[in-house]
Amino acid sequence: MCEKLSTIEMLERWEARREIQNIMGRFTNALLLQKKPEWFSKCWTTTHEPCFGINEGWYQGREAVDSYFESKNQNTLLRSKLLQEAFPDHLGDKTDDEIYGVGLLDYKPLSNQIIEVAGDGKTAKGFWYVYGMTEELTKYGPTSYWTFGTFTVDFVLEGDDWKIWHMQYLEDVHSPCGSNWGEAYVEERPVIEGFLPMDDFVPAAPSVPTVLREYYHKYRPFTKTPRLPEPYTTFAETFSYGI
Amino acid sequence: MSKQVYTEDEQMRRVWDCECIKDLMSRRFMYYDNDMRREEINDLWVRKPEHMATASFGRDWGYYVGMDNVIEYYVIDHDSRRREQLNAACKLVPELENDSKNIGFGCMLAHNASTPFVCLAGDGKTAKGMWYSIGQESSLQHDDKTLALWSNNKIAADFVREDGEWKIWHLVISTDIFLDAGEAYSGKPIYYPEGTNPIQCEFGTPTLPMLTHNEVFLWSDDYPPLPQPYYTYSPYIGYGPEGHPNYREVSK
Repeated sequence: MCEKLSTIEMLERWEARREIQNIMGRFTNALLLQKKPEWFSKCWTTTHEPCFGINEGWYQGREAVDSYFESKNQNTLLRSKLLQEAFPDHLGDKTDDEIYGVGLLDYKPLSNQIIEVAGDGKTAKGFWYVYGMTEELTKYGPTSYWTFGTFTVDFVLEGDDWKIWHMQYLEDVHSPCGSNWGEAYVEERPVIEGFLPMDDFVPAAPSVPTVLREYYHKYRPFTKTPRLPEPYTTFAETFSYGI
Repeated sequence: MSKQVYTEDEQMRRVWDCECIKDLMSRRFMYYDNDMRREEINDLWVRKPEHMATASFGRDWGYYVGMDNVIEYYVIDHDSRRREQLNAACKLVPELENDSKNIGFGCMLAHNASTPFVCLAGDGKTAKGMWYSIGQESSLQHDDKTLALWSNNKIAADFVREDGEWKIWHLVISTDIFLDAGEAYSGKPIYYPEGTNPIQCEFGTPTLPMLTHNEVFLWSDDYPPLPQPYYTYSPYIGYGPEGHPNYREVSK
């Protein structure tokens, strides 16, 4: 990153870095604010094939990426309805829009930022570590999970806007808060009948199922993070965070 | 430091230098998390002899001073501990091959660099920075259980420019909390009997033993302090041992 740059080059790269940082900030804020799928759809490239990777595989192509966010939307709709039924005094008279996302927290603060903007200015790569937390509704009721993982992203400049091209969100830990994430969690709460439908919810499967990253367990071989961005001139000469 | 006047080119250079330093520390944390300590020293730390001679790595109980001593603690001792841990893991998992490729079996590290605060020297030759790190270190233990440890720290560093590249020169980690995941912080002992504090045991006996930070009293000693604006580096304002307020007492 510290190669000899002219003043204008430093300024342009700095502005690109700032915009990319802001894109990721807006993205994680959108998760927290429970934005609808169409919000996320606008983040992705329209000139290249996008893909999104999670631990269980890839969502490859526009349709598959959109299906992931639509699936989150359906999960939120179901959860909101079940909570409305469980808390009629507080939520009974609210509209669907008013209860959308009630009781949910999907918190992914970004740290350990590493950004490399290509020498040609057309693409960029970013790495962030996430110490996150998510509040999910299970058949046992609301459950908070620690979510530790990484975002690795390729960006492409389309006109004046940076767009997400390839993104991986890979977790090491997705474990109930207040527990040792290296040991099996033993659920002691009873099942709540009103929340049983959450058990039947089937999220949209990756279009290319594979194990992109194994969650941590005490017998996991040492597993390094995804590769860090390295300085590069054109995308052809660097590695991809895509499939 | 009196207000400095820079040209636009110099201002942009200084902005870019701060970005480089933030990037450097992010990379340092990820090298650490990936257990790439030897590579971290080679790629990210000082390389010039005059800087290597005064490089330091500090924690609550003192400093390792001089690159050879830093490497002895940070790389060689750590490699030995990892080897011991693998030996123990092989007894628990018979099919696990006792080979260096399996070093770190059952281990996971994750420390983040957040809240960056970078102060570039007025002369542009050095910089000081501070970050806060919420971290965890997990490992398979002899009893077949996982030790999952929260480890929250204040981390500060001096940086120096060598041949146009920023390098880590002095690093000090000040522990706020280390705690078993799932345990109540209120249940943690306030004082550890000699030889039982796992962080202190790991740190060993540094080149210059001294109490740099008392975790019991949290930030009341304000060490390491936030960087302050400065024009040119002096060890007495650095994050090496000479910069610690108690250094003169210890060195007598």
